Amino acid sequence: MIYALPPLIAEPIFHLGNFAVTNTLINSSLTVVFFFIIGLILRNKTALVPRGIQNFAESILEIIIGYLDQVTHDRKKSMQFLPIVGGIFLFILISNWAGLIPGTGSIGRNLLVEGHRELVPLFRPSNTDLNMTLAMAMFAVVGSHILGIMAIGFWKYSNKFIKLGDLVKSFRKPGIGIMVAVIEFGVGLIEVFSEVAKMVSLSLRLFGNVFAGEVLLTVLASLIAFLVPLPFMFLEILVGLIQAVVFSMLTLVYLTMATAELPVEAHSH
Amino acid sequence: MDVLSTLGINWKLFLAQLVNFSIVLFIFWKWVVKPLGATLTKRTEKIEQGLKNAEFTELEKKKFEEWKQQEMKKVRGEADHILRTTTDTANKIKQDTIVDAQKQAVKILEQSKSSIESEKAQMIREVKQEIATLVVAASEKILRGKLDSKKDHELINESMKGIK
Repeated sequence: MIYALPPLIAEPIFHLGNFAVTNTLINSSLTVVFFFIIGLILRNKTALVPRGIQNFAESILEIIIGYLDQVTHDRKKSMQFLPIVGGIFLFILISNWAGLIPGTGSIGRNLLVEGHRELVPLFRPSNTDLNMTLAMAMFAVVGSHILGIMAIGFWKYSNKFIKLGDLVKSFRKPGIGIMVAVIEFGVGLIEVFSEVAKMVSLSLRLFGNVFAGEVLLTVLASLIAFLVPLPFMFLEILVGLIQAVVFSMLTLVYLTMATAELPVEAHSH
Repeated sequence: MDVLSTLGINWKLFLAQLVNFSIVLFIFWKWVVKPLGATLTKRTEKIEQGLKNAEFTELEKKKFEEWKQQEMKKVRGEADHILRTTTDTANKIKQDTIVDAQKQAVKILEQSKSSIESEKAQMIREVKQEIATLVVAASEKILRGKLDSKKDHELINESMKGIK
């Protein structure tokens, strides 16, 4: 038999008053609980000579910091970005891998869906919900703008997108500079749209990959339940890691680009 | 907005997921990155400090070693110098003492010689006196009856000449 394919939209499991709690929200809340427990354990582990779980956590942090350093070339910036980039990476990784735990997709409630009684899974990987990925993407992009403004100042930062300053400057010194400034003003407006595109691409990429994996596993499991889905599950472990790396790396690049000083423009001299 | 609802975007769910995600980030930042990051930085600093200290100590040791060598050389030189001066002084004192002693000895010898000489002369003089007295006495005894005082004197003088 073919199991019911997971629908595009996360299914509500129960209602809290007016608010429908979906299975992806359950999963992401469980991830929060997981992080809460790990955080509680690690909270006071600050021994100078690490052992046990502190050692493990430190080694992971050091690996992440190593990657950050490769992009930022600045340890201070790396430490500033670490909570955002590292948090995104670990959250995506844990939620993706949590989707492979047995029970995800198979334990459920029999609910009435569009007139039919159907098994609705209690757990569904949180990244198969566009709400989740879009929330993270928005957080990353908006966060990069905030950090950018904090790093180089509001006017300088806004001049990256709305190049009014350059336009005014070019009118003081008439010539071909005016043309360049007008074109760059247009390019700046396109930049504004590219920021929206960043959010869309970040969120859809992660959502698409994880959702496709979920569908693939469901289809395979319904065709041959034993052994055959195994390689695909390994593939999903890889995809989960890769997508976490891609999302966090792109966030890191956005953050680095946003906090970088503007290059001195040639035509202003 | 139709596209959004087809994809399942729902502002309530969106906010809920955003809150969940923010909680995770906050926990990660507050409980993991902050303390562990500080620990990592502290450890790095400590290791760097330790290495620097070790280097410094090594340098100090080397400097001290050099200083020690130099000082040893200096001290040895000084000691040699002192030893040499002392030996020289001692030799000189010895020499002086010997010369002095010799001088003293010669002086003493001369003094004794002269004192012996004078004593000898004194003795001879005394002996002469004694003998003269004896001769006078003997001659007197022998010639008491036969000679008068005039003859006596002549006799005495003659005998005295003979002694001389």
